[in-house]
Amino acid sequence: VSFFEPPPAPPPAQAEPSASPEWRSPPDNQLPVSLPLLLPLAQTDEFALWARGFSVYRNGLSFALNLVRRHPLADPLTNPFLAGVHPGADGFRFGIEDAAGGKATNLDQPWRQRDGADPRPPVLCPHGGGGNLRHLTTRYWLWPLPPPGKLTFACAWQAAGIDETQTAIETEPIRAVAEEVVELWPERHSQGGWSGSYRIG
Amino acid sequence: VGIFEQTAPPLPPELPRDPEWLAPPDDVVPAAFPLQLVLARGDEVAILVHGGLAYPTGFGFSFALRRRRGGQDENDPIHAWHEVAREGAIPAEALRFGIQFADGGKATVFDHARLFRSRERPPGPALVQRGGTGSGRGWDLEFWVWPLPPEGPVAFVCEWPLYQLELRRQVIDAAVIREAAAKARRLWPQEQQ
Repeated sequence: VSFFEPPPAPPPAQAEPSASPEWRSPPDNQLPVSLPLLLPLAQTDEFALWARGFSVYRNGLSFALNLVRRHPLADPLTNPFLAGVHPGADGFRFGIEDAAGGKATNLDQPWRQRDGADPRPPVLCPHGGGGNLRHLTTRYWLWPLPPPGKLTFACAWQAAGIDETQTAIETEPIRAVAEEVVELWPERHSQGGWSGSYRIG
Repeated sequence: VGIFEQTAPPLPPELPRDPEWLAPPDDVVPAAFPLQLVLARGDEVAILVHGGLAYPTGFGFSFALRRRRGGQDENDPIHAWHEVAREGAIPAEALRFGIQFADGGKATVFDHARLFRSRERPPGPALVQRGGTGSGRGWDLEFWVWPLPPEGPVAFVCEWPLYQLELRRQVIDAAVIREAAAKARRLWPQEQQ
């Protein structure tokens, strides 16, 4: 027998992972409809923050938060979009409030819920992002579609000199285009709340 | 005086800026423009370009790919795009995607490796994939196009023999992008790094 034996045969291909719960990420059987919208949220001499890339799905809204800084960040671990890094009161805060009074913020971390129950809507989940020492992007999935009326985006970041600001949009255009979104083919069945595959990164 | 003493304060962090053909400027708030072009819609695959963002030096957009069945690793598009760098030929199973300006200048996803390997300013437009998320069934990728297109149509082109998708070309008017670019806003005076 040679020292270099061939590796064992690979295991048979596994069935595809089931779909994420619908509150966790946008469905992968729809093409979204984009809104040409960019919302400035805050600006100082050192930072600017805006929301952009509004992609409407039948059951929710995906959008990106962009943060740029004038001078490069010294320590990447102080990335304000990393959940849990700045738990203090002066850390980065972002959230939404809908016209029915429902609120969701970046402090919720609904994916940490361990009892298998779906979180209470509305739910705000990060689903991908990136950047470097000068700019950062995080995409959020807001589930479900906001009710008629105003949708308010709030942010605060005391450590960066950003006081709480609120910026509101009307949900009518979002709800109108959501009806145009087509389901391309049937969705995968989600096998219960927690066996889904999570697309992070 | 000891030997191990700090003699000077630490230098501020430095981060050289990307050349303008590789990335959008990071000191500009872009302006959104309407972009919603379905490039493919079949029983197995659908492709959309959407979410335009205009800058003084070019524009960005999102690319959404959906598949009914999860793909095998080897035909996931971004893997095949990178294979071109190694193989020097376009793999048969690769999704082909590119853009073309009214003056004939074009750029495709297969230029990527060359763009990043060279420090030279490209002679024509550049198409740069800059991040994204995905899995076998759904990919959402972000692209950067440099520079702003000249007047006339801007074409988005794709072809995917693996899924029997024939060459499809959809256009928007460059004026839409150029008008939005004029509304992009520089955040602070440009500084030398």
